[in-house]
Amino acid sequence: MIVQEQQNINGTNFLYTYSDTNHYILQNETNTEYVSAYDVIPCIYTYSETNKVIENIASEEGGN
Amino acid sequence: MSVNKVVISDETKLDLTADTVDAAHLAKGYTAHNKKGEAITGTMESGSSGSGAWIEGDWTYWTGSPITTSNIAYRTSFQPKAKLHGFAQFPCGVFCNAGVIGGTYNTSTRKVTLTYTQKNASMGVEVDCSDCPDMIWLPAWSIYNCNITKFVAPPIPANAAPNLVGLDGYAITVPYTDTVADRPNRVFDFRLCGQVPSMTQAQALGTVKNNNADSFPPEGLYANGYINTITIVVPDSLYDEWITKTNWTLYASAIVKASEYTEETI
Repeated sequence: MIVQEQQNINGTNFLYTYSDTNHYILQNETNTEYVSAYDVIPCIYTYSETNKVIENIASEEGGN
Repeated sequence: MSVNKVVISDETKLDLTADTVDAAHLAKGYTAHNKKGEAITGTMESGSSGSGAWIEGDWTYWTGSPITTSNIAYRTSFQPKAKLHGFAQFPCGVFCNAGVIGGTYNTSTRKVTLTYTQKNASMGVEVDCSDCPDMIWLPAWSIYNCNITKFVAPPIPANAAPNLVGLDGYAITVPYTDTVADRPNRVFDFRLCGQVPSMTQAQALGTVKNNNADSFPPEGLYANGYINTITIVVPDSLYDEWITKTNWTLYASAIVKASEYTEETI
């Protein structure tokens, strides 16, 4: 299911969109798949959940 | 006898007399007729006058010498400016400095493969220099005088690519974090981009920390627990789109127009 939250980061409001079942989300207007998406508010995009499961993507690189 | 103009019943059916094509300005191997009506075969090496060049002068920022695969492996041996300019000038500003461990040059295909690591996996970035007559390959990997005509990013293993940025159709790993505590800045140079790439993973260039509570430090950008600030240089014409595009918008304060970017920004 698509989840959308409003987040205030450093004084700016963003719309944070993600899948609560760990799937890629599709930005319908651009046909682009995202792991998760931050958009300015008001958000001009809509999202839908894809069938593609997000594989294990680490949040940060550890370096070498 | 060559014919360069055909007039039938006072009507010009063919007129080559004002054409400017000549062998030197026609791609090598292609055929045409010049303004005299003579058949010509092109001699111009494609790519020899192209754009998106690897900039030779960038290496002046490298403070050590010579560059070797061993010191490339140790990022701490690089000066920040070397990291910025030494490796950042692939087409579309692909930034692949961190983790670069070496490279090979195939003398037959004239392709360079740079190898770097992410999450214990090796990946290659192939740069096609086959149309680059001025290229010079040095024993330690370096590319000088090279108009890069093609950039090919290979498939990146999912478990090896923690941060993906869809870049003009390519999935590119942007290694942004650093285990060096005092890294002063990272510059992502997208000046060569013709369009705003899609950042398919939020915060792919570094975690944006919420500093609403006046927490320390004020920069707001963190990576691996260390303070990093970043500068994202973009074409002027794309600036407005860039700062509002999905996920890039989190970095809006770090995005600068190319015309306003100076070394002092570092």
